Amino acid sequence: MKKTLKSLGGTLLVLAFWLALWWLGAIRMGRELLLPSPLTVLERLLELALTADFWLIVLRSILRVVCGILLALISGVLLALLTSNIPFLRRLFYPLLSVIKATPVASFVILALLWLGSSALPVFISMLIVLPVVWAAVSDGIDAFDKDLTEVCRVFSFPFGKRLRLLYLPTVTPYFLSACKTSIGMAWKAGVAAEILAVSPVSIGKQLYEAKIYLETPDLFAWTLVVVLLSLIIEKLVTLSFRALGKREIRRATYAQGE
Amino acid sequence: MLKANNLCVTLGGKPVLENFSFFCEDVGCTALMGASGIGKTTFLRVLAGLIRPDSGEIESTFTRVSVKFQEPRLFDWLTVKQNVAAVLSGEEADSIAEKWLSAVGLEKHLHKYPHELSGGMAQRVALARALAYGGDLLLLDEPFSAVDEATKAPLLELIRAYAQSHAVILVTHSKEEAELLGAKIVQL
Repeated sequence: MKKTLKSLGGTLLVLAFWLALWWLGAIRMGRELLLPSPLTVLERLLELALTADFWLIVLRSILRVVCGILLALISGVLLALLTSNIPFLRRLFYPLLSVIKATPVASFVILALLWLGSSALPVFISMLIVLPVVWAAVSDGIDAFDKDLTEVCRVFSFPFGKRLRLLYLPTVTPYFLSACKTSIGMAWKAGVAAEILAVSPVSIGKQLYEAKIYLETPDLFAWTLVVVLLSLIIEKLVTLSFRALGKREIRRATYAQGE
Repeated sequence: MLKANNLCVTLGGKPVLENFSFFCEDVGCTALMGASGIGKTTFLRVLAGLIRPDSGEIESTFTRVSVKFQEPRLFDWLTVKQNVAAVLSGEEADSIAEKWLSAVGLEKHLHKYPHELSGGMAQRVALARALAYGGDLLLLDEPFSAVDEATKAPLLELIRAYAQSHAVILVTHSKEEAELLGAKIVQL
């Protein structure tokens, strides 16, 4: 309890430092158009939060990005399973993985805007950002299966379910979790960027785009703050849900590899 | 009964076993002895089904093979008891695991994790796991490495008792261990 309070105190102190710096910068600049003060941004955020539209916009953006993330998680795991077990598929898909990793998001946004339209674009872009990270991480996890323990499973004739529970999941989960943590923030950034470029209807991206057009800097900051907060909340939720769902051995493996 | 005829195994382009023949009965202990690298472990791996010989034949009446590898090979994320119970199924898995862990003198360490054990204790967990599995053929690859002398005696007795109703093939460098087990010695 004392340790938690101390840690919370430390976090608040760091937050206060950066807020103070922001405040001083705003005072020094003296123009809300260039850098609004934290208070102005907070007031604007509260104003927005009191409208029903705000929550609708937030919900629609969450749905788009979360859909993209979920699609990426499912397809990333499936692709990793296929490419790790079938060498031909690994050779076949490797260039695709490299191309997705190396291509600028903007190129995909322009192309996908033509193919998919403005509403589905953020889903696709979020998926595209998360997919290679999850795919590569799960493949690494599969490559990391302990050969000695695989032999133990073989000689003691473990059925597939037991192998999955005792060896495969504990080995792959830390890689998968780490990929989730890394890519969720990226998915938000890319998803919102796609919303801006596509001017997706009822989206945070559209609000940011309009804030830019009408030079509403406090709105720009308020909506950016929303994106940051949502990213942090979803990242935390993913970690907590894995902990809650995970078996003890998965948690231990996660802990052991994180040490 | 197990009968191996003219087994040849090549690993990494190097012949490890050449025309090796072997026989053991349904019960009793056989000790494989010989210099390091001569193919003792390779032969056990062939019997465990982990390596396919290049040529030769194996005739066996054994249906369930237990293995204690040279290294403990425990699941780091499972407790001592869970590691042993993992090779069992059914409601009695836990009690059988406890029985064998008690037999190897680890009844006070059931809830420890492998990283909390000494090398010798980890070897004993691996031995308990192999015994608990209850194979009609038990393969033991240097089961007493890292086990201190005081602990070794009851373990030898345990394997001797097991060998009275099962077949045990043991790799060892110690003639004394083989003799204490009353094992038939096969020199490679």
